[in-house]
Amino acid sequence: MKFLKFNCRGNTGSGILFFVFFLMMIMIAGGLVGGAYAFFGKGYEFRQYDSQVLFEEARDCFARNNFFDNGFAENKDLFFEKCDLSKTVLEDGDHLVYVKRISDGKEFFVGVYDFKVRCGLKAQKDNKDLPLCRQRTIRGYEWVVGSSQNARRVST
Amino acid sequence: MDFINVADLINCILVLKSRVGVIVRYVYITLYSFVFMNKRAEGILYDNIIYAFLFILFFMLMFYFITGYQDGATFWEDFYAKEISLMINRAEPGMEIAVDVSNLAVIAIKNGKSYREIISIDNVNNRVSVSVRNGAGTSYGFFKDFDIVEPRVEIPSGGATTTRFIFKIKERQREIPQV
Repeated sequence: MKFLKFNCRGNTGSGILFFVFFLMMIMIAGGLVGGAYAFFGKGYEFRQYDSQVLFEEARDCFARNNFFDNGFAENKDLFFEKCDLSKTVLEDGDHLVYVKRISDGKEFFVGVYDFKVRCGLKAQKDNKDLPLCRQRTIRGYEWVVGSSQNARRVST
Repeated sequence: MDFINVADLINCILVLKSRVGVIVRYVYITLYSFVFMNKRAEGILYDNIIYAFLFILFFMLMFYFITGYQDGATFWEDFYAKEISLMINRAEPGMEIAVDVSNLAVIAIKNGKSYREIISIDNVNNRVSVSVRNGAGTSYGFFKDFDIVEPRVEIPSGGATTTRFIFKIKERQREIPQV
């Protein structure tokens, strides 16, 4: 009749076995993820292209419309309209367009101002949540344009 | 000549009675254990249930992850969503653009998805969505404020290897705010 009695002392052994199984699962998962990562790589890195294209669009638009001299820089909506840029996308927390006229220190920006700091971090390439940026000084204007946009999974 | 010994018979009945008693006790204890489980046994049972639940959950997640990478579906969705958004960002109003999306069409058809549904454009939120699997896809934003009109996927020769995504760029209709 002993087999009918539940053995309390078996709890310790059972608990230890659980961790063994858990460790095995972690090892299997690590192997699968590592294999997939090794095969497919880091994915398709696009932040640099995104910021490059955005920089060129904004730079050409500023030059074409002479934003600072015409007083357009105070009106962000006008920037979006004149440059055919989407306010929804540029103010989604993944972009920055920053321009500064060096002569008088006048600034204009749309998006996340803190990207100015994050653009200087060394972890940018490894951490996909950080922006990759274009930082240039052209004809008396300082430019910082960055993007940290990544693809989103959606349900269809 | 054999005959029944009364003493043996009584002895036999007594033995049988004791064995029946043992069996009855076994059955009683078993039922009692199941109906009125003690705390320690209950604890072990819950441990095993939690373990089984975690085990199933783990393998479901792993299965989901692996099927996501089937045929490189996730990678190609990501790639085309970003490339098409780049084309839109570089485009000018009035352009008509055709992109070869044969890779997507092959995977989509293999997954039982219609090639007509693999790419969609959201003009309200400025997003390109690519999906070659049923129920899931990848989306990426384009920052040029254009309307993308007449988006369609075409297979000119009837084969999936020449599939093209064609769309037109049109200037967005709106009022310019006054300075």
